[in-house]
Amino acid sequence: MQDKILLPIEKATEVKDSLSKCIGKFSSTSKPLLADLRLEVSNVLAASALNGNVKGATRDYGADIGVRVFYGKKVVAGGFAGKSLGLADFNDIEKVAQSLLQLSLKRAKYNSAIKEKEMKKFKKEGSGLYSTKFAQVKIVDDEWTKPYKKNPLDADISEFIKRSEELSGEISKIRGISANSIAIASGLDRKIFVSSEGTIIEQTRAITEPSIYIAAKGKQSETYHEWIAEAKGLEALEGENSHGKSLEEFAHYLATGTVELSNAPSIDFIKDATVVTDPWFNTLLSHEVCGHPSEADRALKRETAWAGRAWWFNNLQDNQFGKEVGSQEMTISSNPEIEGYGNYKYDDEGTEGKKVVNIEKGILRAFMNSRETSQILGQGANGHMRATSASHMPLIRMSNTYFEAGSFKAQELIEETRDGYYIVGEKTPSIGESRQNFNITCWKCFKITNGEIGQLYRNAGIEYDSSKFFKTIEAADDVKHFNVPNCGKGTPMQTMRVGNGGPHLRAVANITGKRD
Amino acid sequence: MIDLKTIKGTCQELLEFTQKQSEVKEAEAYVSCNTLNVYRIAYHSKIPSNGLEEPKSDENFGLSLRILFKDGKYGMGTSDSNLSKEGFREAYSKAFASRVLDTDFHSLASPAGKMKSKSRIDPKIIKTDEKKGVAKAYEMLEGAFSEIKKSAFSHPTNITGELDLLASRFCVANSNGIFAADENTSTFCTLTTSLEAEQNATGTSFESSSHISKLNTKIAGQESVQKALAMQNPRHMESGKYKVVLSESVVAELFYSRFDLDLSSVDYHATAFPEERMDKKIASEQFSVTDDPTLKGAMGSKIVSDEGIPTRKVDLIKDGVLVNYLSNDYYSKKKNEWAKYAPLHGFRSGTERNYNSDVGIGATNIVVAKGKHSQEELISEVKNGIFVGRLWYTYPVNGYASPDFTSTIRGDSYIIENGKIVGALTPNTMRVLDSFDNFMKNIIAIGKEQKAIQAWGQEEIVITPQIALSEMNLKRISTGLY
Repeated sequence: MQDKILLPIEKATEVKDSLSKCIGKFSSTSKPLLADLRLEVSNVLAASALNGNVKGATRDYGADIGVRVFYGKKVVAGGFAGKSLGLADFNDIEKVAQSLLQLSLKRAKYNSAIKEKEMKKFKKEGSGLYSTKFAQVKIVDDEWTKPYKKNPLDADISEFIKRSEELSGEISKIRGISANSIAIASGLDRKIFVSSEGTIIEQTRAITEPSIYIAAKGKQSETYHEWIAEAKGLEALEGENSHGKSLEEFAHYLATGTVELSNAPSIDFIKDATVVTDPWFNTLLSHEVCGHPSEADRALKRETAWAGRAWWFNNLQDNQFGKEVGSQEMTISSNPEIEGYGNYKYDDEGTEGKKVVNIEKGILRAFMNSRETSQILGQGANGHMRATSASHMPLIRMSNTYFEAGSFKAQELIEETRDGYYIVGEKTPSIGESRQNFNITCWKCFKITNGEIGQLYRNAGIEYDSSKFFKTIEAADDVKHFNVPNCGKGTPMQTMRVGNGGPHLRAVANITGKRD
Repeated sequence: MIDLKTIKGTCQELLEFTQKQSEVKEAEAYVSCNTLNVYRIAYHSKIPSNGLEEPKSDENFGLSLRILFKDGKYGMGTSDSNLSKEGFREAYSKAFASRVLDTDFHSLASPAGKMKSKSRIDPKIIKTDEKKGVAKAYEMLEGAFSEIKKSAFSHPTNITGELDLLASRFCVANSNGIFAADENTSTFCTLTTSLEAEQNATGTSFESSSHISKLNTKIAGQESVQKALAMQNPRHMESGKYKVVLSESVVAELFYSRFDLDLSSVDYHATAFPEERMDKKIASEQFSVTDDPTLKGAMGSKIVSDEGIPTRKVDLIKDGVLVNYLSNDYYSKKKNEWAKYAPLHGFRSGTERNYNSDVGIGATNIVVAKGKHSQEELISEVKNGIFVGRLWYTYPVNGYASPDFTSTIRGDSYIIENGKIVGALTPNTMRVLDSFDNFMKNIIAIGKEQKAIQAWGQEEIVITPQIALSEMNLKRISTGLY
């Protein structure tokens, strides 16, 4: 087996100073308002098995580079470019960077010229066009590594192959399982950021992300797919993860649970039910109807065609800031400073990531933002611009967005429910365009009768208008964080790793079930 | 972009290099380059906006090897941005180091005829003029501005969309005698305009082609505003089961959500079309679906798969009966009973010829057969119901093996009374809670004109007419908000 990866993440560090000099030179000759550059190198091990038979494995690197230039003599506009990198590119990385900077500058110049023309031609219809501005942020020269215990690159790929194959084989033998797939991926990622303002940042972290897919056939077919997703090293496979289970324990747990579901009855539509949702389910709830509408670019209607808008923000004069959007038990925070997929020190604009309270005891307070959107909104820059990889352009993404603790105990919420439903485990969302309505299905749904958890149902989910749901929320104090590895946004699509979660909640919602 | 001659030459050399290695039983060499230019529009009349938010590009080139070794193991290795001998050695060493004993991998593909025609490419997409690209994107915004000016609409407006130019070149060669190469270009533009009077009228335009000269972005901009203007003074409807006419965009959205007709999904038991349904009637007799990679000028057209097998049209559903699955070479050989599914759809990730990913199964142009009816006739047939113009966030909420889906009606939708459109439906006020099985069975009439659609984040193209259904389950939502 191959001993070392041909492009180790240390290569990114080796070229950091060259890149900084390059953008400095570019800036002094071309005089952009702002230019920045990101370079990223990742080293990954992965293996997968289907029904006890290995399907593939890899021990490899990936590298890419992306550049933004904002320029304009009278009206500032942006131009961008990105590219995948190979080994040979690192022999003359300055040349690669220069060519992308020049290309981006060209685009920015054309963009600036035409924007200015449109502003003059359509003074009324184009009254929203403006010369791009940015909030000032601290210039830093810093390095940050998220701590991890077991280096993924110390593992041999044969270990991953054996483990995925053996586990998949075990799962195959469980009665009622019709198919299963186990994939294990783990690696290290290093990002370099340099800007025309003089910022130089290096950030490193580990990601371990095994995924489990289960198909069961009892009275009906049932499928389920979930990850153990952690910004950690290999310790995440051994139980140091949000589910508190090793990979094997978690896979068996999902397999036996999905078989159970395949023999459970479907549930019918039930209006205005009392629902108690567990922290695992609340991962998707916090993500879809709290996190996404708190992204400033979406709220400012820059994502309408793709990701939609935010129902609580119409424009700068007409919005719900300072107004009640939820119950007093509802506090939502987005925090890059805590453990999770959304843990980082600086975002992809070089801004220090800061906790922002989006909703405080039911009152809408602030959005996750970027340098540009923070100055439009008049809210301090909190560093939430990230790109999936360096060749993509950053967008506003969740860091770790979650429900904060409330005043109840989880057991209390269940025991004091006379007639309701216990919603366990996230499954699939479908959300209205402005995040104003949601339908999120769950892994398991149990009937609660007089405080006791009873009958299991399949094909269940909850559906409601967001504002009505928020106003009925009662929150427990058992906050748990889970990670979402596949949040989709942007064009072309970027799947981002983010953190979410919360405590047990009790609220009112419709229960959705099987279609006719 | 790297020229096709260099790509072909490199591919041949890579194969020859690999075949000389003593451990190799069969080998496939693959070389490609891809460029994507995206011009993203974002504008609001009352919020500081950039107009052309992001003129950007992403490009990649490289090579990969898929090898069946003499020890029976299969491995894949790649080299990014390097077409030299050094890249060959890198890809080979990675394939060797990562090889695994997949007992379902029997052999690489064998030659299966000659490619029938050459792809038509647009040199203006291969080598994009930066100034013209930016100008073309702004024409969309200008088209929208002009139309708003003409209409004298005086409330806030929100305009978002994009213009995409995609170019790819590739070559594949294997030790079984396959040698194939191709180049493709495609472009599309889409614009969504919201007129923010009381009820937020929204209209969306979408156009696509293989050639940029055929794309009129100014008209796309005008059309999005015209559609939004037609949505003014909308009405709400209450929950219930309605007769509906589904626009082309909506039909495409349903396909993207639940139409998993490939052997990989069957293998994973992750489809609502399991083998028990093969050769059975699953839909109205009016409903026929093919995968057709041969359509001239269509965005999804490809003359050869990523395994070097010439493509051809394939029936999937014929007169309401499920007749076929899409497959690649691996899956066609995995089980004896799967040999009947032609291995024509081995693709490495949609519209891009991606050297960096393994071969999966992908559709090209999914084509719903047209019927006989004009839009007016479909509306007349429904008599009382809803014209559903655009869906949002259509997902398989009850798992991959279930035909169930849910979605919300986003915009471009109208109320039908007495066989005519009488007004717009208020956007974002209805949720669809239904299933793909119901969609197929409830078809009462199909339109006679087709349109090509590609939804955000999707790879396949769906070419479909409008379709009328006897029933769709809709639920009123967003009361008090919209």
